[in-house]
This record gives sequence, structure tokens and C-alpha cells, in this order.
Amino acid sequence: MIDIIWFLLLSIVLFSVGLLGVITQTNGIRILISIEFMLNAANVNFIAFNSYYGLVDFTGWSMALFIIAIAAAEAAIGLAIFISVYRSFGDITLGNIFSLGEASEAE
Amino acid sequence: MAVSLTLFFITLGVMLIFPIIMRFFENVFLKMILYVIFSGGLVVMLGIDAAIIAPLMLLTVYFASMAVADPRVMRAAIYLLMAMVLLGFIYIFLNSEILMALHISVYGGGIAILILFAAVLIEENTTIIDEQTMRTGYLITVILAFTMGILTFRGRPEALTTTTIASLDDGFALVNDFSVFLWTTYNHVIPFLAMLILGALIGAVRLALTDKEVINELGVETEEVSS
Repeated sequence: MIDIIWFLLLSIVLFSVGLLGVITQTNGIRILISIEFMLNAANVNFIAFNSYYGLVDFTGWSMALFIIAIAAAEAAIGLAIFISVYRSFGDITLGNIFSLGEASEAE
Repeated sequence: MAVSLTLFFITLGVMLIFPIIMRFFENVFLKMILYVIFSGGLVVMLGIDAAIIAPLMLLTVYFASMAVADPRVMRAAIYLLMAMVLLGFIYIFLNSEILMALHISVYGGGIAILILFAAVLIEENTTIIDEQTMRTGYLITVILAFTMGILTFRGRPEALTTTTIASLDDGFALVNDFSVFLWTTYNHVIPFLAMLILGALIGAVRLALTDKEVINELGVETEEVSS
């Protein structure tokens, strides 16, 4: 018999770790890793609340499933962008990348 | 709730102090006896479910912290893999075996390996983070964590106190019910998700095959062009 507060605490800690990574890190891959932790913190909450409500409805589990799918898509696209940028410039430090938009007419 | 929380923090303290105590003992048999006593004490104090999940949660948090803090991206990806697998096991305690399987397949087998490959392909430039950014980051994180903690404790419904792990038969029934729920209530979302993932896959392949010149034409600007 486990109290729901254990899972909520885990969720808070995971979200905080992810947030700290997003704020302080500059490497693109590391920021992606941190975002994954933040998404997983949300997942833990969804699944915990759904399970503790007696499983008469599976909305929380369904949301967790959708988040997992979206996280997979986001990771695939994000890593492809970083690898493309790295192939051209040899660096994926986000502080050094100013623009991913179209080239201006002046150029 | 107060008793459960007290036990949680006592367990946390004991688990942090225990490895330090073990350093003082040289004898292997004595160490083994101490480990057995420690494990037995945890089970008696917390119950079998909590005694298993407490170390799992602590290890998950440890690996997550290391994934963010480790200076090498390669190691960070391995720590991510470990944290995701352990988090998947935690879902068993929420009677969600199907999501555990999905979580470990997608995160452990998909995303973590993808990041691991990216870390291999990219030669990392070690970036020194300035102290101002670190201080701001820690400050924002602590404030937000504190706020979330207060909201969690104040807004927690009292009715939701405990749950137990379902038996295997109940677990299969739950998976069946979940599948029926997904394909009835959310049947219009599943094809959309499939299209989303397919789009991401095609986009990722297209980006990976893009020539260097095309990327240059897109106007990506960087401060230091090292290649």
C-alpha cells in the first residue's frame, strides 16, 4: 500500500531536474534529454492519478500514451535538426546559433 | 499522510547514510548480514511495496540528475536510458503494465538509443556555463519546486490514499479494458498520432539526407564556423 504522495514527489523532483537542465545547459542534445524528463514527470502524474481513482476511466493512461508518442516524434525531429546543423557548422551549442529561418534578402 | 511522509523521509535518510556506514566494515560476511538486516528493516518498516519502490525512485532521481549534470553527452544518454527503464518499472506499482511495456520500448529502446547514436555522431564541444546562468537556473528551479510542493500538499485529494498492485488476472483485464477505452473513446486520436509519428519519421529522414549546401541556403547562422 503506497500513498499517492510518493509518486507526486517523484514527479516534482523529475520536473525540477528537467527544468534545471533546460535553463542551465547549452548543448542541444542535453536540452532534449531534459525535456524528456519534464514530459515524464507529467506522465507519472497522469498515470498515478488515473490509477488512484479506481480505474473506472482510462483518460490519464490515454494521455500518457499520447505524450509518449509525441515525445518520440519530438526527439526524432529534434535530433535530425541538430545533426543537420552539426554537419554544416560543427557545433550544436544553442547559444551560438542565431537563426534557423530563411536567409534574408540582404544576404 | 503524515506517517507515510515521515517514513519516506526516514527511509531516504537511512538509504543515504547506509553506504557511508558500510565503508567502515571490511568483512564481507558482516556486510552481507548488515544488508539483510537493512533490507528486512525496510520491509518491516514500510511494507513490501514501499520497500521496493523507495530504492527504485531514489535510483531514478539519481540517474536523472546524472543525465543532466554529467559533462559527457555519451554518459548522459546512458544515464537517461537507466532512468527511463527504472521509471518504467515504477509504473508496475500503479497497475499499469501496458504503459510500462510501452514506456521501456519507446524511451529505453527508441529515444535513448537515438540520443546515444546522436551523441556518437556529434563531437561535443565542452561549454562552460557561466555562474550567473547557473545561479538563475537554481533559483528558478527551487522556487518552482517549492511552489509545486505546496500546491501538491494543499491540493491533494484526501480520498486518494492507497492502492494495491493488481494480480496477474486483474492486470490482463485492465489491459483489455484500456484497449477497449482507447479504441472507443479516443478512436479518432489514434490515426492522428500514427500520422504524426509517420510525419516525424519522414521529416527526420529528409533532414538527415539534406545536403550541406541546402542547410547553408536556409540561413542557419552561427557565431563560430568551425568546419
